[in-house]
Amino acid sequence: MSSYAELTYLIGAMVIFGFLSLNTARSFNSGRQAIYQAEAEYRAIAVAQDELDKVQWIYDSDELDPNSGDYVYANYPINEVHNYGDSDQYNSTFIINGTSELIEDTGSMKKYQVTVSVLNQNVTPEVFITLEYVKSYTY
Amino acid sequence: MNAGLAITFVIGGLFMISILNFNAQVINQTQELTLSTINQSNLDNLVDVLANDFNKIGFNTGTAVPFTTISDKNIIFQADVYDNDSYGSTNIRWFFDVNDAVSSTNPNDYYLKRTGPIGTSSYGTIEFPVVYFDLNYYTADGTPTNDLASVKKIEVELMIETVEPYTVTGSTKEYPRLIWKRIFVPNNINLPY
Repeated sequence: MSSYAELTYLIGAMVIFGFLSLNTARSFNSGRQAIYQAEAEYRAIAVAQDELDKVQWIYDSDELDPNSGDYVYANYPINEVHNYGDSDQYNSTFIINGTSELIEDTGSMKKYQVTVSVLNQNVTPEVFITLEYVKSYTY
Repeated sequence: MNAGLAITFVIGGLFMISILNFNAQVINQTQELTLSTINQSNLDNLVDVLANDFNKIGFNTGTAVPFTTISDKNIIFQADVYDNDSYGSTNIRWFFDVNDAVSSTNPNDYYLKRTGPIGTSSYGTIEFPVVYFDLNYYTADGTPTNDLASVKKIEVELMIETVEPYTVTGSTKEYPRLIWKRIFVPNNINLPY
């Protein structure tokens, strides 16, 4: 009888230890996931900044007017593949969307709010970031 | 020999081995997470300095072409990168020195050197351990160029690894790695006139 009791204690200890190791693994896994997620977000922000930097080249306000035929974001969202590494051994696909909205028209100045969002589905959960930029034109 | 005692030894031994193994894995994973976090912090710091410099290319120089040298591992340009120092416009150099290996345990580390103002009244070189650094230059429409006067966009790619490794299994060691890439469009070389 005594040996059965010892066996029960042992099984109990092993079950507790099993739960402990499972929870520890889960905790580390979530930590690692957070790090991957942070890196993916960091890259997505860089991609969105690239896109916003292009807005500096838009000198014609019609290109930011959604009702104009010259609207620069007419064909968005677009897919962009970025290669990384000394021999381009890594890559990530980003879905980039851009929109522009006229937020102020004083009669002599137009102010557009450009919103760029970037989606990266290479990681789970997927990364989605949004950056905004305001550009003014006098006329 | 008492059979019960022998079985207890075997079970106890197995249990102890699994505890030691578990302990080793916890240590490894802690190392990996800590090193990765430090790595991200290092990349963040490096990107802060780099983004500040590259966004200010040509600022307060009074010249249309601020570049002196452009290559895939080396760039020298003029800029007033920090407002509150005693310097006006100075030469800034970013140079990936593949002949200057970092004396760390990571054999892939080389110094990325940044020469320019480093304080309110000091000018010098600061060094960042980097595994890979690459520069590409583009015209306004995105065509690659090496012409100093035509450069309007600069693509910067960085790869950094941790200085110390963590042990995966036995003698297999890993250096957590981070990669970052961005195209800068500096305001001062992209003016509409």
